[in-house]
Amino acid sequence: MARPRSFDERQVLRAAREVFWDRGYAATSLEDLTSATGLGKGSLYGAFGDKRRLFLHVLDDYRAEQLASVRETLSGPGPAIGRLNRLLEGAAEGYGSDVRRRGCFLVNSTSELHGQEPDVVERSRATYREVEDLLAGCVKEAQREGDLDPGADPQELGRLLLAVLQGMEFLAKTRMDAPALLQIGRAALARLPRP
Amino acid sequence: MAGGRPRAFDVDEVLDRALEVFWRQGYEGTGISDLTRAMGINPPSLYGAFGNKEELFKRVLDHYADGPARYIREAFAESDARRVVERLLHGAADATTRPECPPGCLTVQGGLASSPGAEAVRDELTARRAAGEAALRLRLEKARADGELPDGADPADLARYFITVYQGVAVQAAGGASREELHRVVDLALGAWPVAPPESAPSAESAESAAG
Repeated sequence: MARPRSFDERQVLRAAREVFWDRGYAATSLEDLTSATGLGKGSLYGAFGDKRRLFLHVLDDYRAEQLASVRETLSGPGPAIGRLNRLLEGAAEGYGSDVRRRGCFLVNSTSELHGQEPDVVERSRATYREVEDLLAGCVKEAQREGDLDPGADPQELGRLLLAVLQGMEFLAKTRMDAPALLQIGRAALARLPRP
Repeated sequence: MAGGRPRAFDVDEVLDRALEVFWRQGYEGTGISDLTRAMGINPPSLYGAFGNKEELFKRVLDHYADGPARYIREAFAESDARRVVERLLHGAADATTRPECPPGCLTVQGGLASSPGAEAVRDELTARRAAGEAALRLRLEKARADGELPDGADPADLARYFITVYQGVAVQAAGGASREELHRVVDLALGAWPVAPPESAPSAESAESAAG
């Protein structure tokens, strides 16, 4: 573990992420990974184990990055309802402007591996749970600020917003255009129970 | 369905098995050898009967629509538009959490391939998604014309919203959400069904105009 490495682990994980994201897990070969990372098989698997372990590392790195970004958006300044709106708009713009329509790497990975890889499902479940909690926290603030119905269960509203985000992701992958995605985000927020 | 053509296997039964494999492993994660093993037929029979993997997948999508996703067609047969949406969304919560099936939905979980080689499959899924959305929009337009939805309601906007939640339910199911949790999400989403403002106090502040 304490072996000095001659490469930047983060950079390697990001390069491997691009390959897995483009091709999916099954279709990614060892050769794809070595050419993308610039590392030989020995260094790559020496550092990360095998393809499966490397994939899980890549997934963890991605999850941490995504969660940090959601947390930052939802804990920013201004009214909570505005922060929820920024998150939905940001997602719509992100999905809509991705010309390759690759979608979310975690969702793709879960879709591909849910029947075979309990470790991936577990990671995905934990991440969704955390995003849901962050959304629920922001919903609670919006309820206190008088923008959402205080009688509604914040956790359930958080889960509904998460479902909307995940649904938008699927629609983006099946080529819904950016303006329509933005409209969905706005409509979803407008349709939440108001006081 | 097989139209009397002599075959050494039952088409419905082998499609059931192919469906199970695609649903569990996804389109790209499924190899021809996985399919032949599960279907109990050899590669020449598979190619002879179904063409290639992509063609087989399309047949499986139709088979899915006649089987586990039959509730969609049944939902659209409802006479009341709100019941259509209720049955679609609650049906999705049930269908994506059946203990005897893989979690999630074949279309979302099995079909969304990401690699460039699977473009044709994505085209197929895009066409089916757009057709479903259009069918719901038409149904909601009819509901507005019939007075079942208020004049201010926007059928296109509503259809997109409900389709979004519908797909989100499938993704959440694959992520491990329970059936009860999903039904609660659906109930909340259905709370967005527009109601006409009371006649004594006509108001532009309906759920629709608030979307702007």
